Amino acid sequence: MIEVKNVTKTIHKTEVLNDVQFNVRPGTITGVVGRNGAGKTTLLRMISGIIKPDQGDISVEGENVFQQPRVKQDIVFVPDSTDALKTYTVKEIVKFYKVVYPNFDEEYYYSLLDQFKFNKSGKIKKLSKGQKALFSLILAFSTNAKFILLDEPTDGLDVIIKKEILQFIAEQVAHKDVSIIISSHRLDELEKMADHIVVLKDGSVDSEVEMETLKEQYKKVQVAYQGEFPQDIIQNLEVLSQNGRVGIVLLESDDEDGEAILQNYAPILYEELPLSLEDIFVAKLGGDLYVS
Amino acid sequence: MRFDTWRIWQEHQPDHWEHVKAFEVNGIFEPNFFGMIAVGVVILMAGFLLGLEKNSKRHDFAMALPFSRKEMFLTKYVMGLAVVLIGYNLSFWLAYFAIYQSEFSQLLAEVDLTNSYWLPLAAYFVIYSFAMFIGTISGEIKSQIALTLIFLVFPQGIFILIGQFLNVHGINFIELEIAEWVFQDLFWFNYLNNLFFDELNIWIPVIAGLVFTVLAIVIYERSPSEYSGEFLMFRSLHPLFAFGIPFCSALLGGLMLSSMAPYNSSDALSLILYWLGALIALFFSWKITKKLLNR
Repeated sequence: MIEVKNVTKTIHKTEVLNDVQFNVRPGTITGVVGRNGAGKTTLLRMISGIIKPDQGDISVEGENVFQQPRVKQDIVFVPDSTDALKTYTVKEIVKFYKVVYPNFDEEYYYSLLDQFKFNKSGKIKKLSKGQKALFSLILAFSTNAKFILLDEPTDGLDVIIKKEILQFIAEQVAHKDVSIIISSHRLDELEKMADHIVVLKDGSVDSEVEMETLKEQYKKVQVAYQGEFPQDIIQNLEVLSQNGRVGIVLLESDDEDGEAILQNYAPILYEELPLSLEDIFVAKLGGDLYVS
Repeated sequence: MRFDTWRIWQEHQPDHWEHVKAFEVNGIFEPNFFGMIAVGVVILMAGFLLGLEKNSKRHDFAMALPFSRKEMFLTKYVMGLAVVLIGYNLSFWLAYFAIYQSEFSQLLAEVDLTNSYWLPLAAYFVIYSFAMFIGTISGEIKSQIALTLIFLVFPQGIFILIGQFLNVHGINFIELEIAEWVFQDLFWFNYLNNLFFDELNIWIPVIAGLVFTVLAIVIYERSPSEYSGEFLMFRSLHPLFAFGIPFCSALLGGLMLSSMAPYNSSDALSLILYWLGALIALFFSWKITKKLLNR
């Protein structure tokens, strides 16, 4: 298990992370969601032992990654770029990884390269952008590490390769005993995969939810009123959209006060709509970046 | 080639040969110009070992590997030191055996092999360790190389700069004993010059090299990776550099312009030129420092 306890980090006099706390359970996919600059990459770099927290503690399987760096044999950080690997060939990198990660499965690595029709004799820098992203994942999963940290794994990729990569990750998790942390601002991607979502907002954990229960926690309601749309509702509730007398409101399922406000103005239309993750996060994070 | 020259001198100018033979054979073991190139290579190598990866994603890649920072640093350090040792020994002993198997082998008796071997080696060791130490403070390869070159001559440089400042203002301050120690014992390039071999103490570069190595390990373990790629790894050093760079640049600017004053000109002219040079250098260095530290 990865435990992130009360982690705080200031970089360039800006508090990037503030009292961040969450756990990653074995065999699960955790999505770290947040806008650009929310601290997602910093958090992943900390868990993988690259940068140290100013305060707080990060432990992997009960060991502090900074005091016991050997525990990092069970963590692979896959950054959003393969620049670090570019001088290696597809074969050379195996020799390096076999030394560093004792559980590296060379046979599995080559079988995956065959499956995705990689040229095994070339340098990594010669691969296309999509192939590089896929190659990083193949390399990471071949280590048989218990924890794989993926920083925006599909960022900047076309739809087809993106789908291929997400499918690959899902297959790997199904077949291996591995926990994954994926940082992304793409809710549509995480919605399909993640078991657990941590929402970062301005460096703090805004909310932490289990996907199974998330949709049960909220409801989306379309309401219309006889007269003008009540200002009370706009000011006090999460209004996802409003057009004239009609509005769509997001409520927590057990928010009786919110429900009372809606009913107080005697709606002429009250209808529950199907809820998507995007609705929740747009409302919770107050932005429109979380589009699919 | 050198042997041919020696043979010609031996045959045609025996008196001259007698006079220069000891100097000539000692010159073979003196690093001289190639020693300076070797120093450049050593500084560059330290840059490649530490600074280069900080300019790229390779730093993150390296820091995420399951090794302690001490292991990472020592691996790099030992690799670089091995290159220095192997390169130096190869060149030294090849030269030795080339002479040993020639008709000039008796000239080896004229060479103080202990000093000729150990003093330059100690110089390479301290310069390499110093370059690695600076590499732990600096945030990328260019700043590492620039700061290494500057701080290698800093003790002597600051002496000269302050000396000129005081001289121009009519004060003579140089304490000779301290100056001798700074200019002779702490100027590592002297250990590459056989003119100074008899006056130098080998333990000074050895101890300095060990101190730089220990400091480098301690600092590398504590260096914050979030600032890799910047001018300096430690934000706490910014005020020191924000003051130090313009201050030293102003002194250098003053020295350069005041030294352009004609020999027989008045002290007032030197003083005016000094302050003009200092202010110009201060202005530009302040601009550059701000840019460097705010990157």
